[in-house]
Amino acid sequence: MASARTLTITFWDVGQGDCSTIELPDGKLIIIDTGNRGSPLVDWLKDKPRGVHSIVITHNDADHVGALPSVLDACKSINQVFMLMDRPAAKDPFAKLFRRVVEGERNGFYGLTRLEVGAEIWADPALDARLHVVYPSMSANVLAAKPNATSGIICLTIKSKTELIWPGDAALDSVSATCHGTKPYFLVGPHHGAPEGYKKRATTSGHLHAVSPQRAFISVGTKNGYSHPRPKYIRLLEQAGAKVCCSQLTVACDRQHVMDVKRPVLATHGLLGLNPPRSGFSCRGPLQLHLGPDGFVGDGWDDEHQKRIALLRRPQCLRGRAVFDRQQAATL
Amino acid sequence: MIAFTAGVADAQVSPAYAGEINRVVDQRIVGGGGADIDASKLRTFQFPQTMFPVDGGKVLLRTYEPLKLLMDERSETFVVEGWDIRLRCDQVYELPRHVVRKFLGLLAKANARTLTTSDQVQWLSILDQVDFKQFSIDRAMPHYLEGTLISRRLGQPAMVEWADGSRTSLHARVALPLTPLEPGDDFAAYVKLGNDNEVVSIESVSMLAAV
Repeated sequence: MASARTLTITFWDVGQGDCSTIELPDGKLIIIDTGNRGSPLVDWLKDKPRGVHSIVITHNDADHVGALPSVLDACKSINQVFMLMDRPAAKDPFAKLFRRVVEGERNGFYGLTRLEVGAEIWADPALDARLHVVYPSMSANVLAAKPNATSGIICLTIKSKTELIWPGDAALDSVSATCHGTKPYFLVGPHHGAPEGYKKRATTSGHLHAVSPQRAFISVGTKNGYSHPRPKYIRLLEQAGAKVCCSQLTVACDRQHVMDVKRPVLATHGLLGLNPPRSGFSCRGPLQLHLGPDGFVGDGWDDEHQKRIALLRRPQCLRGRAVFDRQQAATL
Repeated sequence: MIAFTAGVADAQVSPAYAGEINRVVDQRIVGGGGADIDASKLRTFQFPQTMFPVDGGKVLLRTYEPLKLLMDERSETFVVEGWDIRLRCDQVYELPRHVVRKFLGLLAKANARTLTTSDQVQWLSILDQVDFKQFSIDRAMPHYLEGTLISRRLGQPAMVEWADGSRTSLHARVALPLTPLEPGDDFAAYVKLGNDNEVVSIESVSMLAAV
């Protein structure tokens, strides 16, 4: 529970898409990406209406922002919306998707702020915590050829140390350049486990070692047509020392489970009092972190999840971890 | 020979589900052994009903497999494996109500984040047995969506482009509330979504003006 002076961070299982929420000490929410149309976040907000401190849209892709009109409708109140306002305003479908945002801003329901480097989304002096934007700059945003190239990178720092990174669909070199040496506790993705340039083993490994996250969460849908996440990237993440888990199971880990069993590996949604997505089969499902006196702690379902994925046919995360363990043993 | 008739107690079942439920409640519990029962041992039975009405039958709680009942002959009671429900054998007709009650009780605790450690163990066991995803989707409220009507003909499926750029072909019955619209009209509506974002129903349609 978001009791006094703590943070609860939820990485939602929205199928193929991204959505996270931060429950602040005052009970308000920060939403980082909304997930696609039909996002379970909307169901949850309709059941438990909340005041929202900020909605942050990392970039203009439907799997990150598709549920925005529904989320705006389901929230009790909203202070701020952060988004890439310089991106294709005249281009469908984003002009349509953001119609409701613009309408709300004009009616004075919330403020609209450009998502760019230096923007501070939230800060709490008592916790010495700060959520801020480290990418993109205004020029990078305007000049980017594709939405992913201009994806916002959001960092949560506690006591001046970067603990969590939300890079949206940003390329690994952008993440590495902006978060070099931070050694965060948690990295999301990026890009559903297939960031641009991941095929170049040496550079990808270099970027991951430069950031050195302890844990990584891949938000991915069982039914995605892009072969996300890429097993090679998961292995590189594990070999860089990050413990990886994916929101949903894919055929790369266990085709039979996906095709025949058709049940979640772990129904974490129910365990955490969250709503499940409308498609796919959960592997880790959603994941929650709570800020305690000694840093972040998990939701308590990691061990159960590990036990269950060991029974899958080819769990890609465990394969990468085995290689990492062998390397560590050899070093010792 | 032990044979119980399972029943749905005190529930008004939605006509859409009535057939499904009746198929299972008319069956009898299938015994785990023959007619001779060793009273010193617990006997295993299956409860054939796998759909349990919630909200007066508007929503169903489905189990993946029939529930396992462990019967104690001496006390003439049975427990439901993994559910911590104990009933007298002559109250088996009450089982659907107790199953739903147990499920809703733990769901409420999970939502309030007040599950104790023992609750968590039991809740995990129950979630492994029920289709929680389908239950949640069936129970979810409609979402506010915006879109554009692409095409519509009387009695034919209608094509809609949602604000995120994806297109959906709507069954003529589902698209009926869009009747006042012409192709090209932008609209907002509350849309009940099913599995894989399938449109189940549309209500409260309004036309959108340009901002």
